[in-house]
Amino acid sequence: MGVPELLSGDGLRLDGRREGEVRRLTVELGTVSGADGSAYVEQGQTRVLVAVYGPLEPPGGGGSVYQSLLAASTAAALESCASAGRTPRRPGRRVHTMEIEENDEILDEGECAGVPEKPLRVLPPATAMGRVRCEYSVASFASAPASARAFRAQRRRQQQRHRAAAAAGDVSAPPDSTAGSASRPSKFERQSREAAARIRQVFEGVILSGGDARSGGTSRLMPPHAVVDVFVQVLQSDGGELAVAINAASLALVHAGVPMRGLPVACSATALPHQRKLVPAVDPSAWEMRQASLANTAMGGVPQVTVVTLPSEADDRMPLLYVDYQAATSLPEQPGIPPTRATGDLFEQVAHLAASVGCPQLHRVMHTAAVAHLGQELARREWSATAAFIAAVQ
Amino acid sequence: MFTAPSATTRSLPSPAPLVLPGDAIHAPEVNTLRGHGTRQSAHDRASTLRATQAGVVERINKLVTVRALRGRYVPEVGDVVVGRVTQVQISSRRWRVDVQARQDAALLLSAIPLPGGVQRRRTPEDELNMRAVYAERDLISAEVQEVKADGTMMLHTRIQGRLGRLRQRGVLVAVCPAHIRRSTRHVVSLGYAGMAAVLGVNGYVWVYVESEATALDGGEDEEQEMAAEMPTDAAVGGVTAPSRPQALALCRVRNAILALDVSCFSISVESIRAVCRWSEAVPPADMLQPAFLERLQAQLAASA
Repeated sequence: MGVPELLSGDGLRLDGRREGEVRRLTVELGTVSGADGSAYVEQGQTRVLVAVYGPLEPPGGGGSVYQSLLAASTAAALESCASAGRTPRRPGRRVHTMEIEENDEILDEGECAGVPEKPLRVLPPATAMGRVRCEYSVASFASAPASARAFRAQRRRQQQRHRAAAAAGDVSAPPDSTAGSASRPSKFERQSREAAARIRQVFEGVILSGGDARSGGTSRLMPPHAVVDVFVQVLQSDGGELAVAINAASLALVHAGVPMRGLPVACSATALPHQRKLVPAVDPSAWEMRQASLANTAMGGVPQVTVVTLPSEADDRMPLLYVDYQAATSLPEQPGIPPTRATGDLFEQVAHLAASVGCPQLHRVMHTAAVAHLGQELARREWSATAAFIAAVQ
Repeated sequence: MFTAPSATTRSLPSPAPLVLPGDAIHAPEVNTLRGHGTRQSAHDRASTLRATQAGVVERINKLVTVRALRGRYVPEVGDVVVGRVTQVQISSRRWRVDVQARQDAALLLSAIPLPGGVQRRRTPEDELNMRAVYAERDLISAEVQEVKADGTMMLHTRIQGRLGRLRQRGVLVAVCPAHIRRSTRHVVSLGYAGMAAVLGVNGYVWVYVESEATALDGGEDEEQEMAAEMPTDAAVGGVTAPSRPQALALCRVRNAILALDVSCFSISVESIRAVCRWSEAVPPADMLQPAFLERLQAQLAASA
């Protein structure tokens, strides 16, 4: 199978970017009135809208019981994630959560080398454990091929059910009956839940709650029973949805005034085939991802990485908060071909590029946009408190 | 609801430098006091603080705080708030009230004027009658009496005739708490078509028809208290439906408040009245259309 060339002779990608360049980023805050904070982010053709409510006391009261339940369910989810990392149910998909206070280098050497063996580690940064609730949904029109596939799959399942019902002699069931469709989540539902869990994990480590001794008087800003609701809606998906969703969520949380360690910035990256080699590149579009995964089969082990950094945690370095990556180990093993996997080297290069080249670009735009928007809000509020304002409308 | 983007008008210069979470705040003084919204990172020098909130840096002597620009209501003692009773906790002799804050407020049985208006000890009968005073879903106006160290707030409704259940014909408008301008009076007459409002500092605004303001429940009439056990329309008692002009005026005031909120302008008696008068030519239903909002923002920006 031929390997597609994704870089021109000059090293330009199909849309004219270099490997280290992210797509055009547009940020708008306060797009959802009624939410405590909201943000709309466009990165290339990927468009995500996030609304944040909170911190608020969960309705129904009984804060502590509710919170312990939430914490228990979170722990269970993490546990299942961790076990999924060891068992071959979803091979090749791993999550690393790293202790940012102690993690001096951008990527710990040991973490990279042991890519497929290391299970999930949940470490103290999760100061807001169980305090973040996230709902992630992808609009049915977000990407044409995906939704068409989903539609066909749904039709197929319905027809199967109908046939089964007919075979059982139950002819009364109409062919389009959706009874029992809720029994098993579809692939898209599972992906959405997984993305929601990732976003929740990131912000559990970033949001400061009163329990943290170093958080500096945040107990009033984030009371013991309060939770933060994050609603993510992917309106259009063209690669890097998780990264864009995390960026939009961190802007929405900033807009809502939720106390945080810093402004988390996420960036996705992969490796593109170029002259029989794999070249790391940030922020791939959906098309590039598809092509790279074709190359995956031919060249073996193209990592797909999403990195979250906290650029402002310290001036001189960018601590890595979170990595979500998909190596090529999910391919079925074929006789004669060794099981493919991203080499530690390539994985490290890709993650490093995303953290040190992609994230700063995105951070600059996000920071500027957020400061500009909040400054505008403040200016309007202060100006509209003056007599000149009243005179203007009379 | 999607709003008109705020970029439609000429941008104003920000009156103060802003920080985002994680941004460094230079604090060269020795023994700087870390206030709300700041923290000390393990990686930083001692003279550097980090913001944990988006907002404006405020310094009072050695105390450095970051004041959030938006977000949920942060209580201060003496604030007049409008809230909705979410729970009647008879065993602990308190009501839980939703005031759009980070946690629910508490209104103690001992913090309300009892029916009859006499000063006396609270009896077990009073506890059993709590639901007759304020039931679930009742709207009340109250004052913040105390803010505990963990941010819990205690309310009281002891000012008769001014605080208490909101039982007039009116409408509740929820806005961003930061947009309500603090002033000396928050239970005010708007001076527009006989409308009045309780401008809750917490972002809940109760707009009502002023001529019925006498029905403001301070607990002075015991019969009405007892009749109000069921929070149905019948229990509203002598309050009649607003006439058509009154209803239109209510709508106009409501939409004026929402238009100010959406445009990030501060909400005060003067600004509400000004927008209501300025919008006379527009039917109330059109006041939240993007066309009107843009016209309003352009008009204001022209004179900024």
